[in-house]
Amino acid sequence: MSKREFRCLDLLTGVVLVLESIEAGTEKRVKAGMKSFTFGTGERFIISPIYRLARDKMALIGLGIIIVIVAVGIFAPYLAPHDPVQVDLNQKLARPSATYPLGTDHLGRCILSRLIYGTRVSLSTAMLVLTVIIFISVPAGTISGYVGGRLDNIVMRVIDILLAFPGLVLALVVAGMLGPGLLNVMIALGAVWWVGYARIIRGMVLSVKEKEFILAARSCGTSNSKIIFRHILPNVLSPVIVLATLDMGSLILAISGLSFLGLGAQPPVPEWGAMLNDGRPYMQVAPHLMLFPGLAIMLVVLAFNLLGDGLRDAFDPKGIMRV
Amino acid sequence: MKQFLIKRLFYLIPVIFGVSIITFGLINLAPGDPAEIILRSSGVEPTMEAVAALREELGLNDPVYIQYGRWVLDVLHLDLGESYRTGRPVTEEILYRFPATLELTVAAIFFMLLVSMPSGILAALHRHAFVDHLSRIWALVGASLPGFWLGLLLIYYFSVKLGIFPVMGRGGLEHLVLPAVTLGFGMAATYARLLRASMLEVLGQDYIKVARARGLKEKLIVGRHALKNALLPVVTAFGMSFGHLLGGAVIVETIFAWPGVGKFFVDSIFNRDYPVIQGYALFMAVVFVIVNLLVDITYVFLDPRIRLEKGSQT
Amino acid sequence: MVKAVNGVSFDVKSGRTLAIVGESGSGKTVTVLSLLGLIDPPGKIVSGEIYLDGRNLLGLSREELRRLRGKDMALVFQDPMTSLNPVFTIGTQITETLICHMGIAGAEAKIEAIEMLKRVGLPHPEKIIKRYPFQLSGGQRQRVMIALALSMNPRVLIADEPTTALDVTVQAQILYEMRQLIKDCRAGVILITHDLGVVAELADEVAVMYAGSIVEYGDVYEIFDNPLHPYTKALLKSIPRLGTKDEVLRPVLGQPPSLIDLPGRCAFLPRCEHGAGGCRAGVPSLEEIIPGHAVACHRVITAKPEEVTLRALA
Repeated sequence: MSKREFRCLDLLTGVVLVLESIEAGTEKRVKAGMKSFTFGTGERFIISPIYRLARDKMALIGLGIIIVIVAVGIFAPYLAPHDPVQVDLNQKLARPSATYPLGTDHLGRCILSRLIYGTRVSLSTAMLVLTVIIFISVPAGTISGYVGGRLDNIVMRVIDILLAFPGLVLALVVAGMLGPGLLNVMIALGAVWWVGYARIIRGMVLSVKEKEFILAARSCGTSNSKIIFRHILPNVLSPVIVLATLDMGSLILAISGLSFLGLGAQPPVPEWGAMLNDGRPYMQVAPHLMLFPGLAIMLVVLAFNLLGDGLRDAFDPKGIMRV
Repeated sequence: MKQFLIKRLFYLIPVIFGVSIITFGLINLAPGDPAEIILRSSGVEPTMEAVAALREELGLNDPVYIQYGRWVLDVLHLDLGESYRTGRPVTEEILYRFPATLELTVAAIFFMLLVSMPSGILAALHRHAFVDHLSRIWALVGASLPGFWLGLLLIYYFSVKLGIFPVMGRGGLEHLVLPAVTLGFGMAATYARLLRASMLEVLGQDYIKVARARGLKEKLIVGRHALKNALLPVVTAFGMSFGHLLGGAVIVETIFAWPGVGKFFVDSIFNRDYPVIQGYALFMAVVFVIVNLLVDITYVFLDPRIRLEKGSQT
Repeated sequence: MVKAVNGVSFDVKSGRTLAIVGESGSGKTVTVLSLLGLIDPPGKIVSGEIYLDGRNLLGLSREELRRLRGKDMALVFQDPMTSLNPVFTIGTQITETLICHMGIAGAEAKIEAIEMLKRVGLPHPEKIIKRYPFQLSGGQRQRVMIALALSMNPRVLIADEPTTALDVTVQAQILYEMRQLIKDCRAGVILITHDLGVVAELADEVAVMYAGSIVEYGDVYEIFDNPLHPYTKALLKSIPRLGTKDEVLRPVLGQPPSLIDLPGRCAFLPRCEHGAGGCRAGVPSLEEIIPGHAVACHRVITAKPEEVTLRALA
């Protein structure tokens, strides 16, 4: 550097600072796979959500697992080595073998076949419940948020009251009142689960409603229904899809949990939670009965959680820096 | 503070009213005529005459609002009816079993705090380091692991195979460990991540930088200045999570044959013991509302901005 | 890797004030944070030397450096709103600093804290110490920060845009008080600002930073009366002046460069009015043109000193 920096090195009071360089921290954004800088660069990153999702390895793994599982469910009759409900008491509690790759249960049914058919039960039940939830919550949330006033007040009060019950407990109570059965479990979960969605959707509608393009549409005399369907719903739906994906995991957990208690799928329907419950008494002699169904549940839930996390990160660009 | 509490309690009135209506209405979900069910459960052949007589006796022919009024009056006298199965008052049955459930939930919360606090703070302080990755994996697994499966696995390894803990039932501390871990496991993972995110947010704030510039010890900065702020969103989230804990307790109590309210409730479902189911719903709602009130009060104590701002904000 | 700072050197004698001027992102804050040893990891000082009273700070351990922070080196941050921890009282935050550095007991620290708040002109200090930051006005908060910073009679005071976030009327008051207090405690002051009015008010010397380097350095009168670097000239021109006929705002056109990969030439070239071919010949180094006045500009350096002076006078 220059000569003048030495001018003051003899100075014994005060500060002398000679810096050749300071490296700024480069902080790796693991999820987006992008670099961003802790300070001072006029860089801007504008990356589409799809691109971000495509670079998220964990989300892709989740998506891959889901695709495989859905395929397994669809092609169950071709993949399953045995009839999932065929009882053969001579073969009961058999260890895994060539004929029964994952062994048999207490009634001699092939566990692998039951697991394969079980994907159908778990996925379709969860999908159905989710559809019901969306069909209740989207209209409720949208109308409540858009119309406002008294109607909004009523919907919000109902939501507050339902939220005063612990969610899972209320679902258990409703299912318990209706009596055991997969359909009753679905009704119970739908009746409880829509509340959170409606609240979130209402919030989003409220914020979209204030945007300039809605004002513009309104000032052109566009009808309310057109505004809702053309402008508001498209803005609300993609976050709802992200939310739904994130929730698939918890829904599957809830359904299998209720079935585990004996409230959901009734014998001989091959359902994972119910299979776990069936295997419980034979823990000492045949632990594989409770090992595989649990693994199956965890794998599916994990896959949906991975994809859901990825979707959330991709569609919520808060993590991306704008300097 | 006083104003906040009064406002909060006032706000509860419509909620409690709504809760009572829902609970009262629950009985209509049950298939069949209540009088018929009662007769069946007491072993009497439900003839037309018997059913009609009982309906009259129970006041089931009165208008709905009168039935509701009668029910509310009973509830206010802590009368939730009698269990079809045991014949004893539902209130008594629930209160008798509640300590066991409380013990389990508190132990689960204790386990959750014990694990999530240190791991959340460590993960925030050593971002992208080994601890952080470990906590991320744990959070993913924790959120995906079915609690009932975890319970069974724990019983299999620690009770059946190793014989360290008793298989089921309530008793000393050794009985409590496995159920509490089962119940608290998933929540611990979630809260570790939540605390990590919240800590990272706080550690990036100016006042932390200024606290460092003031020469305070790092321990004091992290453990006091950052933690107290970072706990605020965690406390808020806890109110909601407590509901999951109550729901989870039902399953855990069933697996471990834990003599709590949840186990009693599940047994009642299969015996179509409707007064118990109804009573359980009301009781849990009350517990949940009280816990959320306590959470709000804790929050107010942690955050002076709400405590001292007169009247505004909730 | 991003070079946030690239060749910066200055010295501040006790009792003197150095102002560092430059656009946001030019490396001002990073430079002073390096002095305190507070650069966020993974950022780090690659090479350099920092002396405080003849002691090399870069040779100190983290613990030794911590002991100096707040005691010998104090920081007043830009935004008093975010500089104080929202969930602790003013009193707690002052006393913990005192206890940390002076090893005195709580009661003694409290008396001392009240004394300090009196010194910065806050009325009713015994009430203020019981308040939370959000209960004070911006000016009061910044006075608290100044009291905190000056409480230990530091050798150096770093003020990072101390008045930017305040109302204009409060700004002048705080500046006036700061000047008095600084005079009393005879600290060396490093003042970061982009407000040239504040520079004129407080500074003895000025360092102009651009893209992580000092481009001009000198006595405050020299810089204002005889700016040599085209960037400094542009900055001075950009101040709107009342009472002049020239009512057009003259901003410094263009954007500061990205620090990711600085080219091997003068960083200001793309925005320079006088840029010529010779400006591409490497990064200009800071050279003392006139005694006490250094500049980093190829054109100024290659010109003869007499010419520079003459042109500046013209």
